[in-house]
Formats: sequence, structure tokens, C-alpha cells
Amino acid sequence: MTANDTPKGAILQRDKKTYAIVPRTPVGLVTPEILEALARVGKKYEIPIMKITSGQRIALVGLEQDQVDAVWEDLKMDVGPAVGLCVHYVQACPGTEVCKFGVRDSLGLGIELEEMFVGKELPAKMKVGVSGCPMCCAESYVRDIGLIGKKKGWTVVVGGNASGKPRIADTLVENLTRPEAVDVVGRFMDFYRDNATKRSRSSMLLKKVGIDAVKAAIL
Amino acid sequence: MSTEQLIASLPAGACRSRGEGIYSIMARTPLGEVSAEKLNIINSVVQDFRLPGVRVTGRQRVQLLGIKENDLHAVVERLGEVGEVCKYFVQACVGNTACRFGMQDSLTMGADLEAFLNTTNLPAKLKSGVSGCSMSCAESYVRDVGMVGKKNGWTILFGGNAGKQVRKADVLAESVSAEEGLKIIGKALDFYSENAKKKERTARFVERVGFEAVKKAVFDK
Repeated sequence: MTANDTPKGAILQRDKKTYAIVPRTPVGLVTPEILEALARVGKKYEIPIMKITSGQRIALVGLEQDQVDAVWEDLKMDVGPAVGLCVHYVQACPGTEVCKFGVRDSLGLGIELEEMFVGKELPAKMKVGVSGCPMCCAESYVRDIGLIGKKKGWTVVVGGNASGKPRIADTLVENLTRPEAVDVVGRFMDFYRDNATKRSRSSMLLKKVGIDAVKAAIL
Repeated sequence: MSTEQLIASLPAGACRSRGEGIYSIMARTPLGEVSAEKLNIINSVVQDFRLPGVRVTGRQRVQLLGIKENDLHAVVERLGEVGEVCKYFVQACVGNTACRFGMQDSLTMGADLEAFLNTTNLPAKLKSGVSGCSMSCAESYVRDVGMVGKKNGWTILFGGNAGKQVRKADVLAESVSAEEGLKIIGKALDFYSENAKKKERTARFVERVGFEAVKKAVFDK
């Protein structure tokens, strides 16, 4: 099977026959319409596994190849990138919207970053975590780009990873306003795009060049 | 039943107050699995009580937000099961049930680990991640207890944390069976329970006593 045979936004599964899809649910927020659509397609197409992922999305697993387009059509939702070399998702904690510990509006900033950057092509996949207070419930220190809301402003950390080769992110800059933070995130993505080799995650780039080189280049 | 009594009757953390008479409720979705029926129930509750939002959390849960105190009883009743089955959090990827990279059955292992953790009583909160292959999608290296499925069995990790003081977990054992893995985790947690300060997470505990001490307690007894 060639890549061209893979239906829209679908990930080939273990049996080499069925697919998984992941609809886009920015910062994990869903509406009654989305829940209704997911429940409807789950029943209609008898989808064997629906699973909440660590990236605050709901994966539909075990679709036949010829069902994928019909399910997307039915869902009327965007694709959440799950395999490409691009920004996959922005994860956020509830922040000041809901949590009593929240210092800054992590959902608001998370949505803003999601809209700007999801799908942006980069050397490898990228995950972003926005936490509304230093407790870091969005696990910002183990994301490619992490934001942490503190009293004096946003802290931006880069080069973290939570996978088989975990790495603690380095602090790039502190005490930023929201627009400044968005700007720095964009500049780091460009720096990463221009300096990393293909399939090399931001953690590998940081290991190679060091945080001071990143600071010198973008601040 | 008063609101306080209701909250006390639910699993810990199932209902949270954000103050001003507004609450949130966690629907029960063990290991992140949901069904069309469950989504329908959640959806009908959201619509009938005009709730402002629902969040899919990083912990693979669905959280209903903005519930007024007056509606709390009814919402809990309609949802049926809420909060955690397990006192301690277990996160799993889909493993060889569906993922083509999966080397081991992380969903079954996750369920077994949940059942096991329910029998323990630990000094602090505990998060665990069961990944079906070394890509570690359940982020096992930054959990208190991590399991990673490899060709020859499970790798057992201990003492990781992904919060504000990140710590990469240490490797307790490699190439062990599911059963052996649970035994090793049990011994490590016994040692932790007996020696940790109250509310001391495993990462801080391992930093304080040293990983060698944990290994000794697990393997030299």
C-alpha cells in the first residue's frame, strides 16, 4: 500500500487493514455538537474503540478504509494532526477559567496558539503545553514548547520531551505578556524549522545547540 | 443530602468546587475508554443543564464544567458513575490492541495495575503510565510508576514526575512478565509507603533516599 491510498487524516492500525482518526478538539474543549457527532458516528459505524488520548483528544480506532471519508463527512470536524511533521496539538489546563489555583488564562492562550500554529510544518512533530500556574498541570516542562502562567507573566520553556527519551525543557524567557509570549513561540518555531534536521525533535536540537544559542538567536 | 455530604459520598476528586457555588464533575472513563452510550449521556446532561463546557483532560478524562450547586445532585444521578474507579491514576496507550507499534497489551496491563493499586494505601498521590512500546505514549518515564512494553516483556520505572520539578524515572527492572512487574511495583511501593513523608511524591522520595535504596528493598528481600 502506498501513502496515497491512506485516507484523509487516518492512521493505519496494527492489523494493516483498519484505521484510526483523531478529530481536532483544541485544548480539549468539546461542545454538545461534537459529543453528539462522536456518539452518532460511534453507533452508526460500530466503531470498536473510542479512546481519550493524552493529547486531550478523542481517537476513533478500528475504522475500515472505506468508512474513513464517510465518518469525516458525518462528523464535520477538522483533522487533529497525529502523524505528520508539524504542530500536533496544544494542551492546556483549565487555568483561571475554572481552577482556583489558576494565575493566568491558559485556555485562552492555548486556543490562540492552537489556532495560529496547529498543522504548521516543522522538521518533526511538536507538542505544546500551556499551564495556568507553576504546578504545571499541562506538563509544560516535558513539551517541545511549554508556557507557564506566573504572577508576573508567562514563562516560556523549550525542548522538553516526555517520551522514551525524556528531557526537561530549558527556560527561554520569563515575565512576558500574552502577545509577547505568542511572539516568542512563533520565533522559536521558526528557529527550530531553520536549524533542526528532519525528524529531529526540539529536545534533540536543544541538546545539540544549547539554550544560550537559542536565546542569542531569537531574543 | 447536603452538597457536602454528596461530595463526600463520591470518589475523591470526582467533584470540585471553583467557589461561588459552581462545581465541576469528572465523568468515569477508565483508561480513557468511552462508548457512544456514555457520550450520549454526557451530552444530554450538558444540554439539559445548559452547562457552559466540557473538557477532555490530559488525564484522559471528560470533565463537565460550570455546574450550579442546585443542579449538582441531578447531574451526578444522571451521569451514574462518576470519578475514578481507582484511587490512583493509571494512564494507558492503546497498545497492541490496535496500534501497529504496540509490543504488549497496555490496556489490559493498565486495568490490572488499577486493580492492584486499589489495594494499596500510599502517602501521596500517584500517577502511572502504561505504554505498549518504547515510544512511551503514556509518558511512563515521567510518572511515579511507569511500565513500558518491549519485545521481551515489561520495563518497570519508578520515581518519575512531569510537574514543576520534572524527574526522569529510574529503571527498576527489564524484560519481566506482567505478573512479575506487578510484584516488583508492589515491593517498591511498600518500601515507599513505609519510608516516605506524608504527601511526599515518589520523585522527591527517590531523590531523598537514593534509587539504590529502592532497588535494594525490592530485590534483596
